[in-house]
Amino acid sequence: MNKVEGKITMTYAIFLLIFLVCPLGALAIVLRRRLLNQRYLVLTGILMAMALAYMAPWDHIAAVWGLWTWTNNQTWGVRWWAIPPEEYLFCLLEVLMAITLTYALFIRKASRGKKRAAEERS
Amino acid sequence: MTHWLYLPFLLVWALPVIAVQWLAGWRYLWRERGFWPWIVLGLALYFSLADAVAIQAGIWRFDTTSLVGWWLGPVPVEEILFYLLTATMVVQTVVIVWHSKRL
Repeated sequence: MNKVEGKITMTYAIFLLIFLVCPLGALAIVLRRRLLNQRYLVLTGILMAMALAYMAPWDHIAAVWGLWTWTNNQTWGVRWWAIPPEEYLFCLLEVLMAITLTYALFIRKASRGKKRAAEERS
Repeated sequence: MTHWLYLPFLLVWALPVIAVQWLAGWRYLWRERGFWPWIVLGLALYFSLADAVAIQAGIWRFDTTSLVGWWLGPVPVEEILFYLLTATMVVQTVVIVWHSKRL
């Protein structure tokens, strides 16, 4: 948190921590060893790299045009192109969260399917 | 260079990817139609709520002259659409790759 004109304000980094890192931590606790699945890891790596490469130029152009702006003292103050590093992290963490949640629900769906099949056999 | 409005800029960026995904993996996406749209909706709702917090906190703001002018609370509709489309791109990729057994 930063103090601006006597008021406590949320920084972009704290925002990421609360809304992205915490739920990802919760998903990691639920999935535990299943996160070591090779297909999940490869897919995650490729998709995160692709998302970053696809998002960065688009976000940069939008920032140059002024479609959106970030408050300087609520970011780390650095810009890579016209984008704060936190924005790149947001992109990566958003993708990671979407992949991991979908993966977790796939696993749940598959195990429910197996359970139902076993019940029907017995 | 004249700048675009947020909505066409977003649609031109996201829709071709979604179109290619449907061309390549429509069988899997259709077969799983009762599954992945709910994940997309859940993610879009969650990120829109988080976005509302970020806007209220002043972390980022929009050029109001580039928006269509429809808001849900502090969140412009373009931003909600952004989360819907980005979640769609990611979740659809996972569904297609998972079923095609390419990895």
